[in-house]
Order: sequence, then structure tokens, then C-alpha cells
Amino acid sequence: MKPKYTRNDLTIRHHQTDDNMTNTHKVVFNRPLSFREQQQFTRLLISFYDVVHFSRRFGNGFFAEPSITFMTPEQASYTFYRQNMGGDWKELLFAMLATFSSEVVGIAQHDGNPVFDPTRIPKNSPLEKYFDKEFLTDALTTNN
Amino acid sequence: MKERLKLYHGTDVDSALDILNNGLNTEKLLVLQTQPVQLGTGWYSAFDADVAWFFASIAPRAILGYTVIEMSLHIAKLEHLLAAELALQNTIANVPFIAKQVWFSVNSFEFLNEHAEFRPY
Repeated sequence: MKPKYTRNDLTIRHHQTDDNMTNTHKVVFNRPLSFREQQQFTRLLISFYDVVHFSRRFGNGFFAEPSITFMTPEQASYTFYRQNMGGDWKELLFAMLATFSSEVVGIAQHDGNPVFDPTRIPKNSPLEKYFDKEFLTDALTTNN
Repeated sequence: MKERLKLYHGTDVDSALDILNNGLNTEKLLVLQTQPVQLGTGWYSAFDADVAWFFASIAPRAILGYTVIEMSLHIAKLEHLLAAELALQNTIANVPFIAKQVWFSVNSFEFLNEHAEFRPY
């Protein structure tokens, strides 16, 4: 019989939010940032806000500039003040973070997720072998 | 012998539970998938659980909590869907990392509900 799953069976992650309008995200870098690099990261997020807020091309809804805090030279958090989580602005934000990660200092984790890390090796490559007919045939033959 | 392939899907908690308990449902997907997506309407899965977590975190209802589920499918069944073009494998576009995905057409849902195993990750 098929099991009936509940929330207790899931690994659930949450965005850090004080209410429905503030969302805080944590960033861990691959190494400590210099003061100049910290300023660069801060400017990046402020300029992101400026683009979204003033161009109104990415779905607006921001109430104020984001606040950025460096807890340590290699850990920062940024908080957005906005009405909802939806909108095309996320793609722009992630593109800007990815650029920072590849060109300035690597982002090891964003909200605990390592996908921005430029040193990370994608995990899809070994599994892709299963789409390779030759590998598949070989594997089946070997295991039989 | 590794006969089954695991793929990962990130989404909000309620959607995850609905898939786990009731399977994939076209009508419910159409309600949530309102914005244009890379390969068109369908169910998207990643080879990499971290990639699925990324998409889970930006799901429309992720504010209420998000999760990842695992779909296990016999390789031969997946090959059947790929051959019938009811599934496609490609590189994910417009994301800040390199990753592959498998897209499943809504026309494959019945097949998947019958042959795939969905589990929490």
C-alpha cells in the first residue's frame, strides 16, 4: 500500500522572515572579504534595488533599500523589504550574485545552498552516463 | 545493477505533499505554472538535489516553507519517455550555475504516476 506522507516526513526549509515583508538571506563566501570587497558586495545589492525599483521592469514591490550586514568578513546577510516573493527580479538578483561569485569572491553558500560556488562540480555529470546508450549497455552487461 | 535513476524536484510544501500522495496532476500544475518556462508547461526535475533546493527556494509559495522530493524511475521507462519526446533532457537556462534538468510533458503524467516512485528527500 502506498504510504500517506505528512509534513513530518519532509525536510522543510524556510526563508528567514520576521513578517511577510522582510526576507533575510545569508551568504557565506569562499574566503574572507577585504573591506573593499565588502563594499563592492553592498553596492551590488543596492544597485540591484535601484534597477528594480526605478526601472519597474522586473516587478516592483520593494519598500526600501536592502540592508546588508557582514557578521564576519566571510559571512553576510541581506534583507529585502517587499510585499511578496514573486517576480522576475529574482533572475536579475541571481545573475548579479553569480557574477560577483565568479569575478570577485566565490559564494560558497546562499541560504545554505552551494549552487553559486564557482568551484563546485555539478553533480549531474555521473548520472548523465545513464543517458549514454553505450554506458548503459556496458553497465547492464557488466552487472549481469 | 543500477536500473533506476533518481531525479529531484523542488517546490513548496503543499505541492510536494500533493505530488507524494496523489501523483502529478495537470490541472494543479497549470494553476501554479503561470509564468513562461524554458521548455514549456510541464514538470521539471534536476539531477542534482542542490539544484532542486535552489528552485524550491524560489517557488511562488516558498515563503510558507519549501522542500525537495525525489522521483525514482526505471531507466528503460525514462528512455521510453525520451524517445517519445514526452521527456527532454537539457541544460537549465537563466540560472547562475551549470546544471541539467529533465522536463516531463503533462502527457507523461499518467505514465509517471504509474511507473515512478515519489519519495521525500
